[in-house]
Amino acid sequence: MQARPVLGSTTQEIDEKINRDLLGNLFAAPMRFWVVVIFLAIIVATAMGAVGYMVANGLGTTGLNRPIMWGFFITNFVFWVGISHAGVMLSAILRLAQAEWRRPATRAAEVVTIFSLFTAVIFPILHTGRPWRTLYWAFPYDFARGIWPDIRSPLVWDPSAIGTYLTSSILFVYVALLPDLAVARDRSTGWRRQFYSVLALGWRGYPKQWRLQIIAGFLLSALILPVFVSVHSIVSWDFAVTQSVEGFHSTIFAPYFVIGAVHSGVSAVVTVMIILRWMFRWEDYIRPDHMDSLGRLLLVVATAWFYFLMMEILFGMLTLEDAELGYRRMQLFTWPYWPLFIVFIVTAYFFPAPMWLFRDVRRSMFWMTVTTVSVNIGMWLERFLIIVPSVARRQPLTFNWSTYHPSIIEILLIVGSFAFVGFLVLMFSKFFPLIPLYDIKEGEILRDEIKVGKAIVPATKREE
Amino acid sequence: MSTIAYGRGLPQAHEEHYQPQVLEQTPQEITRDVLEETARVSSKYKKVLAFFGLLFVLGIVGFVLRLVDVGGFYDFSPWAYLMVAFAFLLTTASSAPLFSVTQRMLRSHWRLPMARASEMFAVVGILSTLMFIPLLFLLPSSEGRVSIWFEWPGTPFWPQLLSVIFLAVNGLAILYATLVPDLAKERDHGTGFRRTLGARLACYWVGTPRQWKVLRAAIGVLGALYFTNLVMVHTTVSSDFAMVLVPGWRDAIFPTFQALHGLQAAVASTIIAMFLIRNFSGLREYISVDFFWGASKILLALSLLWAYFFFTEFIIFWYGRQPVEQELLKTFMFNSYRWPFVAAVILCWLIPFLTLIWNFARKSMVFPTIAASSAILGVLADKIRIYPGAFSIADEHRDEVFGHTHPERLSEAPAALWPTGPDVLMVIGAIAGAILLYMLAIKLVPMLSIWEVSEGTLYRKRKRFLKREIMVMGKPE
Repeated sequence: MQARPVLGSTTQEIDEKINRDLLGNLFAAPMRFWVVVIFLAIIVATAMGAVGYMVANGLGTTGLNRPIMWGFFITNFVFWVGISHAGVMLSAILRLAQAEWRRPATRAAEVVTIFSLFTAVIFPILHTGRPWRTLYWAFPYDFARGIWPDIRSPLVWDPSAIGTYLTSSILFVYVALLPDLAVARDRSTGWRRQFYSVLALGWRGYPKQWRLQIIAGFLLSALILPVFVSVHSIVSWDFAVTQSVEGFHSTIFAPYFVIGAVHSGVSAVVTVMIILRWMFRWEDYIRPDHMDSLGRLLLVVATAWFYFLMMEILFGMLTLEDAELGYRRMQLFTWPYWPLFIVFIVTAYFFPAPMWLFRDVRRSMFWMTVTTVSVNIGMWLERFLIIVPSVARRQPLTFNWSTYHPSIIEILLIVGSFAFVGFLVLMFSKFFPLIPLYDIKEGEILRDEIKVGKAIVPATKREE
Repeated sequence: MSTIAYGRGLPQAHEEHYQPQVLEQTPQEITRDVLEETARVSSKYKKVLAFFGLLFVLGIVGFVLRLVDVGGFYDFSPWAYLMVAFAFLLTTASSAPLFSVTQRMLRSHWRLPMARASEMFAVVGILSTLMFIPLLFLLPSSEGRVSIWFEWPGTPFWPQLLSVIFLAVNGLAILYATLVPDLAKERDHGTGFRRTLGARLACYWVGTPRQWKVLRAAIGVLGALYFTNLVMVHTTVSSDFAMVLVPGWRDAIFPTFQALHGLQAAVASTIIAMFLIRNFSGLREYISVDFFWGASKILLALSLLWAYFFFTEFIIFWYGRQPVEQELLKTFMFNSYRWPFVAAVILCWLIPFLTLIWNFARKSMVFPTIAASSAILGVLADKIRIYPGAFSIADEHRDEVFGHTHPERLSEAPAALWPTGPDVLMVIGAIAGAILLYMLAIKLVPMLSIWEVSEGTLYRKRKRFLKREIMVMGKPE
């Protein structure tokens, strides 16, 4: 068994080392940080150029055409909403469950949540073709004529759910960030000091402040859970309540989407954590035992997701309705979807899940990176295979058909979205600590050992 | 100036913080207390046992009356409430060992006293398997009709029968595996026939490192199998005995909903068992509020999930407004079985939610037990809503359901099928039989897992920290 690293012999030493290691990037980022940031910025700039071109020339520059009007954009929207589920899963749920190993992962998960939600929102807006008109459609604009959005439409539920989730996630991150902002304030000078002073809201670490911060953290953790579940449920209902595409009409979509979102979101956080570990040399903070626990969690989540997938397929076909059978025929047996389906199922489950059964894999940074990237390749394809074959299927009221070939514009936007989230996370890390200092320090204080026979067993001080 | 306050989240000088229980007893004392309590058979226990024995016999009488009345297993409707009783036991008793299995996997510290109480429910698997066999005769072959079995020869009989038998055997195997070290204690310290039983069943257990390693691996594998198998049984039973009997019922979440209901009922059953063991046995000091607090959080979460799963099913049908979907809503929710449905919502979700949302209630023994009892009654209401409805439709539409691979859709909600005398006797008898088996089992083998409770004392210590004593909990990696 690998021993946990000792960060210092006294609380003062531990305090100093944690501050030095975790705040280091705020004041002097390593060269590799800037290399990666510039690389990502170039991709983002290229994608922005593609957006400009598309807006100037219209949606005809994409591969969208009748009957496939939901292509890469909506796939990517669902994918990024899914990724955003990592934050609450790792932060709120594990905080409520008092899982000790959550500590280094929470902030990164919450930040990935915010930026992936932000990125997700961009895609339906771009998909409208004339983004500035979105405001007309989403909000009431003509009081005189009494034109209002149809509140029975899931397309109106979406902005409400995502807006609530985004707001509460930002609040969640901010409340947890307060003590760390105060530490950054006390260690900085000039404009940075002003900046952190304003954000720290006068935090001095008084018992009352800690008490309020703990209560706020727990309350937000509990309150954000229904929002977390509702967001992807509502996104799933965009599909499931759509009568015109019969293959979408499934009662299991909501929990199936939520568990799939957790699967891809937690995998994405693991990937991000490993990249950050490499970039900032956080070997003492993001350790193999954290990966081990995350690997176990992923194994359970992946298997639950797979069960839901099987239920969706099996019971969708139970009554042998033509629409459902046609959709499955398209998805499973028709070119080019069937090879994509095989890639999807292998990368999302059959490759990573058996790998996570092995402790050595779960504790290996290399294999955890490979398996979690594999999951997200698969989960992106899953969304694609739900959306495109369903709308591509010949239906009675469709008067012409074609297949879908994404254009270079769409491909650039997809690649750009990944770069955008990565860029935002790295820029966040330049101004705010991506591992919560106070949480790590608390973990160090609560850390203990007890003797059981001849063995020394890791232990934690606990108070309910 | 550094603002790091090391006191964050740590004990303050006020007293409202609850300290988790740290048992002071030695393993020898735990062994003695548990074995003595297992061997003690009071007159009150005997009276309760006789009462449930009588009810069980009445249940058998109800079954025989119904069999004589209808002359066999041809129509579904006469046996709807036998199905309700079976589904109730499957959801409550047969699911209960899963609670221990999952918490063992998660290494929850508060699970230790409840492990045996939860796994002991496996004995009810014998009764539910026996009840399931006649129900199987109702199902025609899957050839030439809609089912999840793709018309494989012999289906749905052999996979249904094997899965239910395997579930019962799997549950008993988990119970036995976790019992082996305690049976050795019975062998070494017990008296009378329990000593003989321990000697026979303990299989030369002396607790060598190798034996422990094999035992832990076996418990892990059996637990994982039980989880998978239980979910599969819920899936196949709810599909074959409900969904496929109703023409046009396409509802992918329904089997998953039933499996989830099993998880909720598993926690609820264990909470009730623990409350009764604590209050009616001499093991009061081993069962603290820690267990109820931990379990009630899970019950609250599962009750919320129950509501979520119900709503996701409801909203798609309600929004879909297809004719068959409207008839399904009328049948199972708003018309024929309106009152069982309302009762299920109140009992499975509303009462547990309103009770357990409060921390003071979760941190008590009475409130979690009230919420758990409500959830268990809700299981019964939910099964009454589902199976009699599906069974009566199957009889009304027999040709459509069993004669076609493309049956017509349900076009009219059926009238409710309410229980008659033999039905009531069968349901009460089945529940009484389950309680009877459980009560017999807890006097046959230790009702508390001696080895796990003893192990727990090794990993929980009190230590001085700042100005007060605090619990330190070890978690071997």
